[in-house]
Amino acid sequence: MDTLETLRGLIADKFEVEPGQIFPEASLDTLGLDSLAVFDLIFDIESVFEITVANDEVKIVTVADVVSLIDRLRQEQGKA
Amino acid sequence: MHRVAVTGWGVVSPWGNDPTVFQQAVLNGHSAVRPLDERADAPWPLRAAAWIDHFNPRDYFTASQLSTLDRTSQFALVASRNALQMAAVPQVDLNLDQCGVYVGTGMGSAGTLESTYHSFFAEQSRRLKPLTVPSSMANAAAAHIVIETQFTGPNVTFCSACASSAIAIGEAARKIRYGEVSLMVAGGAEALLYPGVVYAWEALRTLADIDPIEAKRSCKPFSKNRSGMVLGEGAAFFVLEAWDHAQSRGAEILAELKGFASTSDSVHLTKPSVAGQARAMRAAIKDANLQPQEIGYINAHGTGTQANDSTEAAAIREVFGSHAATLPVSSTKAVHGHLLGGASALELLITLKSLRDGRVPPTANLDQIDPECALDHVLVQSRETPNLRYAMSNSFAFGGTSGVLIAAAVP
Repeated sequence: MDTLETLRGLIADKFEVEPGQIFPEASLDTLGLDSLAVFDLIFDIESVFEITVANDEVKIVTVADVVSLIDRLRQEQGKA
Repeated sequence: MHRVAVTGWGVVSPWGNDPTVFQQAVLNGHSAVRPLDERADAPWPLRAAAWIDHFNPRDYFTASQLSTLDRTSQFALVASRNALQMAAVPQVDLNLDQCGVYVGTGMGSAGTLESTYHSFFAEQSRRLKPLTVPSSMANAAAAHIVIETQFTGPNVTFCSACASSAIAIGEAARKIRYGEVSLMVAGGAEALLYPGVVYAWEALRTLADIDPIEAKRSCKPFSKNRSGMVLGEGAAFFVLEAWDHAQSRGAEILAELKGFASTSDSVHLTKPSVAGQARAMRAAIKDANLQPQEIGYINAHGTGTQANDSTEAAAIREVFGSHAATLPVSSTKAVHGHLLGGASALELLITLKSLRDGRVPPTANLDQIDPECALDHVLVQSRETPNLRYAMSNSFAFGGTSGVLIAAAVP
């Protein structure tokens, strides 16, 4: 699974963001995702990528942060 | 002391969001009540209700917004937007610290809670939606309205069962009257038509039997053959302003909120009290600085339950004496159902439009007037009331809270 592509689709569908705006350096804030929306996104990420995100892991700013978090947790949790 | 002007109103109802269409349906006695088994979306008891099926949330909100918007908040936002638009409240030159939002709701965000409990108990899920708490908190609707309007004055939610929005509107008017604020958005919303909630009402033995001939005639306020209430859903909101504030910005003043009282029966959790209801009506009349004989129409609480209707009729006769014989009374719950926390707001809208139009709605389905409910009922058809100046809207809640509003026509 291509993490960035899957994440891009998730964000685009759920928050109605143009997929072209969802590039690695983009901050979630500029995409219109506030702190509550990020919690909502993580809930879906956990389902789609079959991972568990601990409370202290949710300090993410950019799309790239989310991608690396997903990849690391998939590795650690044996889903990669 | 400031006079309180009504400068806008908005509604979400089974007949749509146009207040004129809504009022016409109520005046015509068109019932939105239907048997719940028309809906295949859940297991429903064999009862009727008045639900809204035209409302598409995506017409008003983005997918992202909807993640925190319970149906109650959606109704409240749409009705309050429409009220503000009608009042043509300016985006600039408004002192936002002087503007606030008061909301009444009975069960708050019942749908969000019910689906969450369904996930937890029925589906055994231990991963609940992360925005469950902010979506379902009882003050969510009010919070969304202030964020949207950027009002920074008072923001309070009133929860007093079936009187919730009467209290919200009445207290908002008081805030203006005492000069603490200059503009308030006030109203009520309710969306509780979820199977768990409806079965809970069913268990209390308060819901009307479905009329065997016409389901839409199931709720029969003040009628000898009444068998209970029907639940409804929707919202109504108002823009209230200090009179001089409305005048100075050239707003059209639609009506005046003249009096309000909130009292408590302090007798029983659910059983209504003649003395308590009479006390509330007298207090509102006094607050409006009127005499009982000046009231020209009452929009009754009139739920269609045995206990409510006879108690309310007795209380009206006690307060108004001989004037009760020629004082038009109607309950409109027969056609729009009981919105609990949203009921008072919806019925105030009907009352204000009746004042403006000089025409009051009938109590639909009142075929056999119960002698214990003897009043000057508006029967079958709406009644022309060309000299109507002052009207009263009654709300009497479980828990013993009464909320009575009095409005005046603007010449």
